[in-house]
Amino acid sequence: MHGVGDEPALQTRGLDVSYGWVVAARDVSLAVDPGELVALVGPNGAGKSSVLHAILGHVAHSGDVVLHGRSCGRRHRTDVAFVPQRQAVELDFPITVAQVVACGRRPFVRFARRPGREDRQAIAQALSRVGLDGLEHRPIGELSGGQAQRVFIARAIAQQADVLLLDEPLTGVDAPTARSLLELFCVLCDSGAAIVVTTHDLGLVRERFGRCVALNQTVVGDGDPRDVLGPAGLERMLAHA
Amino acid sequence: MPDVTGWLTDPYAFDFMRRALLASLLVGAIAPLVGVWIVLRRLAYLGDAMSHATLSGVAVAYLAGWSITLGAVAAGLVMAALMALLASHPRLQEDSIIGTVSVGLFATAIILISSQDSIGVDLSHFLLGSVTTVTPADLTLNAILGGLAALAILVVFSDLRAASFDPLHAGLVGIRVGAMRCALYATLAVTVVLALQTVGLLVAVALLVIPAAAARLWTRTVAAMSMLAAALGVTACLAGLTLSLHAASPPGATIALVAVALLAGSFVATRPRRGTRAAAHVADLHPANAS
Repeated sequence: MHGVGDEPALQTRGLDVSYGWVVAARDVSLAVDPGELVALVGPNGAGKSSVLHAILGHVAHSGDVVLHGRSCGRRHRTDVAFVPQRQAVELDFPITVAQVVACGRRPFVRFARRPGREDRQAIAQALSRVGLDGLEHRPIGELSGGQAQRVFIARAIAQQADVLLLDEPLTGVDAPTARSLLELFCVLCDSGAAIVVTTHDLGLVRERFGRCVALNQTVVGDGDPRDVLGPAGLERMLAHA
Repeated sequence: MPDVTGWLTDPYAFDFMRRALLASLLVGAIAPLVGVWIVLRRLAYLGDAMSHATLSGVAVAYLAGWSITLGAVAAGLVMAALMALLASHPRLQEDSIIGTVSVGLFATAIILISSQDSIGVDLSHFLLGSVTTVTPADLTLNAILGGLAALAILVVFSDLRAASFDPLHAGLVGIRVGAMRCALYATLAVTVVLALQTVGLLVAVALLVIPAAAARLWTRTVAAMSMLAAALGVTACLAGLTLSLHAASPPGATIALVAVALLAGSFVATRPRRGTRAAAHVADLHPANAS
């Protein structure tokens, strides 16, 4: 919990998302402090991705998204970074690792200008932090799944975003890769980032996360994963909404 | 030994032939630069649809006595604007929008043409291309339009790359993804008009899509793909036009066939050998070896 005077890095208040008549999420309120790593879990269709996309401003929603105490409205949310699901991005696109990470520098580069020395340094540092030094000029399509996830995390670091949303980054990667990604999340949290990860891997959540938010259209559990994912919590999470 | 230089230069002894060559080289260089983005965004169908839609502008301009080229550009821009308008509805998919708008404009063109018997023959120039009738004024206008299209692509290059690769993130960092799409459509409209006169409406898509698709097989970045696509487009136009003048075949169709041959050659030369695509999966299983 955050005390009086220090704002959560990310807060949603009464977030509702619907697509026509279909309600994807309703009255979702949660707060994530700086340095906190949160797993967002729920069955397919529970509204996990919808909540992330509402926070990012990608889908129409009602309710508030508050970043560091300031309501977002319609402005660009450059202090939030997003790591998409692997299949959501065309990894065969002819773009190099450095060019992907450079996209994170866009808020700092004027229109139609090339990244300057400072930007190039930020790109190199971001790649170094995720352990991808030396792969700058490699097309992203030639990397493994785990490495591609790291490139998107490096893009978030280069963007200097302190709220990081990752949509199922642990899906489709093997156990050692998942462990190394989680270690990286912890390092980023230690430096003050607030990280929200959607995942279906409840075993990994119980083992490696300090906090878990269970969604079934609305928040049905929030706290220690061992409590949230206990028998009663699982029943609430998997119940038909 | 055959006189290769003579074979290449003989057809261009006359001014109108040299203008044909310049017009072809211009479109051969510019169309693939735009085509790269059409290929990367999987919008090859849009290139074909846009070329059909521009016929409505050609017909209106012909009947009103305006510049045919500018009429075609205007029709292309109308198509781009209508597409942007319809895209605002979340349940209308892009391919449905493209089909509807282009058929609407093409059908308008057919009705206008069928109402005026006299314009049928002249419009066939736009269907099949008529590169040998390019006037100096046409060439100047084409150079201005082509230059503007290339400049537009160059100015927005990195934003267009970001928006094409990951539009969600691009929007997040302040890139106007919708504006990028409209700019691309407008540039495409201009490029299609350049291609109308050279290769004709029916095979305009050849210069938009084929050199870019062939270049994709050889290259690993968009910049390299763009440069190679332009080089392949110029090669197709130069070889196709020269061949057509020797063989007395239709220039547009010959250029299109040379482009197809370049793609076929690229396919054979770059086809992955069995087993090479497994490398990334091996890296997934053994991340320690991956880097």
